[in-house]
Amino acid sequence: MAYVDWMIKGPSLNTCDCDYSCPCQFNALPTHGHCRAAVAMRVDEGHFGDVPLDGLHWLSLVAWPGAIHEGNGACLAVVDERADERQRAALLTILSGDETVPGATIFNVFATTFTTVHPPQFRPIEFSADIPARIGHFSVPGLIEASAEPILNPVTKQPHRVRVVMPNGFEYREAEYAAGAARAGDPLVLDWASGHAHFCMMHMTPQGPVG
Amino acid sequence: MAYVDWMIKGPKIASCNCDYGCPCEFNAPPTHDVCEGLEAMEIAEGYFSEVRLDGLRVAAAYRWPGPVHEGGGIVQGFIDERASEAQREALIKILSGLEQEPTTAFNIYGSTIEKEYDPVFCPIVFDCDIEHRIGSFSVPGHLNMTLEPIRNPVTGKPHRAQIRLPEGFEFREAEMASGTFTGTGEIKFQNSNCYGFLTFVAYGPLGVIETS
Repeated sequence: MAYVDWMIKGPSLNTCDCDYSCPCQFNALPTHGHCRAAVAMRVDEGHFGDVPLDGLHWLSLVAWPGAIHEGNGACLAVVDERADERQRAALLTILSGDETVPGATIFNVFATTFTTVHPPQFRPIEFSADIPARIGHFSVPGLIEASAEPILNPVTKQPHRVRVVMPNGFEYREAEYAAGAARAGDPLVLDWASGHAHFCMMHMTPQGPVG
Repeated sequence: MAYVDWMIKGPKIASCNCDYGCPCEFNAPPTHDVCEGLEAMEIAEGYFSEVRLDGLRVAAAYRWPGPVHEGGGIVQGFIDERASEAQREALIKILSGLEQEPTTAFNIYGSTIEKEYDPVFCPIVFDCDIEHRIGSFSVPGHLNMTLEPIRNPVTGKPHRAQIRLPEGFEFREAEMASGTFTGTGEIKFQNSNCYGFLTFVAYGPLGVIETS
């Protein structure tokens, strides 16, 4: 089957309420039995057909009552208010997992687990990510505030550097792991001060991550 | 400080009772509070001063009541019965953290141990295929461990994930696996489908030696 030619490339930051490292990354069950997460990205370079997506942000808030693959999840997509009509439609198509080889991207895999899809919002999104330093932040005024910083060694208090590599991963090939915090209100409540976070240079196409 | 010149290099496999990925690798608390597990290494190439250690195998079983860094651990070492007196002495020095910096894996783990059982000199059966995340080792009457790929809970396909610790004191890069193991000697335990890893690692008096 032929898909619209699309690509997004840029830094992304993901945080969830699991402990550091998030067991789900290794196909273990979530730390607290459920999963709540927020992910944001700055598209440094991107297109969807002939629609350019360079410089736009998006973020997604998600929650599941159990492990992700058990379903019954809820999601809320937020697209950069600077995006024009075509760009908004393009980003929402990518985030919804359409125009994608089944199972190839995190968007497509997660889409099969949602039973509640909140209406998308178009808002200003602030985003910063220093991947080597494991420092980042994203926010939408009045909706979500999230940040990440290095994990600290419990004895020496020195920053702990750890990367996870997934040669066949559907989100990334390599990610820097960190400590994350998030707080969001209605319609999708998030609240943790020291959970899992990871940074990666997302480079996604209809066939999944590049590399 | 000057240390005896030594090096051991080869495949190492391990498993503990934490979930896949082991939160401790990321400085999170262990999945079930208690930390218990085992490991084995085949020294493909090694020496302690003029004593060659090539081909010898070592293993260990351990348990801590909480996170490793809170201490109170128990440990028992197992040394290949094929080792000569000089080789046994050399391996015990290395594994007990002597002749090396305090920042090495043997020293750091050693500092958390409250009770050490006498080492056992015995046959150690060892097998591993790091690329395919398959491995096993056994110490008759004491330990048995097998590793296999983690499987995706939906598709059933093998899940490949590596942990890379650029400044790691135990390994710099390891393949994640699913471990199942029993301990029937001094330290008893039984766990299945939990954290396992396979790595190829080299240690010396200053810690991990980059191999790739």
